[in-house]
Amino acid sequence: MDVSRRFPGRSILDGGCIALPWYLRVALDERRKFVKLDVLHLDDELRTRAAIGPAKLETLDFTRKTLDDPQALETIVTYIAETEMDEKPGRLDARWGLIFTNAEGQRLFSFYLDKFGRRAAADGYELNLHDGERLIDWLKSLDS
Amino acid sequence: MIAPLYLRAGVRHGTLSVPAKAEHDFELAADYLGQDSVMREILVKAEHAGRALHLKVNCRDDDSYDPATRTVNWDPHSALETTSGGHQSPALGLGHELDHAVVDGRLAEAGADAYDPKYDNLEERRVIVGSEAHAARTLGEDVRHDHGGWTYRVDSPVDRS
Repeated sequence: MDVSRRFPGRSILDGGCIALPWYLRVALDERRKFVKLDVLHLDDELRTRAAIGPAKLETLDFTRKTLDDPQALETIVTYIAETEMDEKPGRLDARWGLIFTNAEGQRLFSFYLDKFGRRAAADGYELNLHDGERLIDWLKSLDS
Repeated sequence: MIAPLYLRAGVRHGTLSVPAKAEHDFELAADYLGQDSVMREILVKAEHAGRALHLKVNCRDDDSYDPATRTVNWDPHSALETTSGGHQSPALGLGHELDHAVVDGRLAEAGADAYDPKYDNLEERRVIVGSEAHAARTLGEDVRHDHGGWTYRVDSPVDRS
C-alpha cells in the first residue's frame, strides 16, 4: 500500500489526492515493522468530568485487545491511511487507543480516537477526521 | 458473590452508598455543594433515587460516572483548571458526576449522546451549562465553556488552590 499519495487513481479535481499529514505518512510507511496492535477501549457510556486525553486514557479502566494477525494490522493501517483528515488543534475525548509495536515491543505509532470517529490524535498531533466512522465500525467489530 | 469492599464498608445516604473512608470528604463536599439550590436538589435526588447509587473514591484524578454499575468515581483531592484558566474544586466535580447519575433515563435516550463539537456530547453540555455553571456562580468558582480541563492536586475537596 502506497500511503504517500492516497487514492492514486483520483485527482484533486475529482475530490481525491488528499495528502496525509506528513507525520502520519512517515509513521505508516514504517508499517512493515508493526507486528502487534494493542486496542484500548474506554467504555463509550462512561461520563467524565473532563474530556479524556490520550495520556489520561491509559490511566483509566480500559479494556485491551491485542492483535498480531498481519492481515488485521494491514486492514486497520489501510483504513487509517484512507481516512480523510486534517490537522486542527482542539480537544479529544479519547475512547480508543491504537498502539502499534514492533517485534521488540517498542511503540512505533499511537493513534487515539473519540467514540464518534470525529477527532483523533496521532503521536501528539490533533486531527479532525471527516469519515472516521469506518475505523470505529472496524474497532467495534472486534467485540463481536 | 462477595460485594466489592467499597460497598461492604459503606455509609448509606438513602440510596447513595459512600465508602466509610470517604465519608468525611463526602460530607465536606455535600455541605459545600448544598449552598447551591440546583446542587442541593441533585444531592436529594441521589439520596432518593429509584435504584442504589455507589460512590467510589480514588486518588488518580478519575471523576466519572459509569451507568453500567451506577457508580460515581470521585477523587476528593483532584481540582480542575479550565481551558480558560479558571479553577474548580473537587466538590464541583462530584456535583457534576452526580448530575449524570440522577438524570432521568429517558433523557439519556433522547439524543443525549449526540456529538457536540464544544462539549463532546449533549449530555456533557447539559451538565456543564446547567448545574455545574449554576453552582460555580453560587460558590464563587469559575464557569467552564467546554468539556476540557486539566486536573491538579489540592488538600481538601472544597479547595481550589
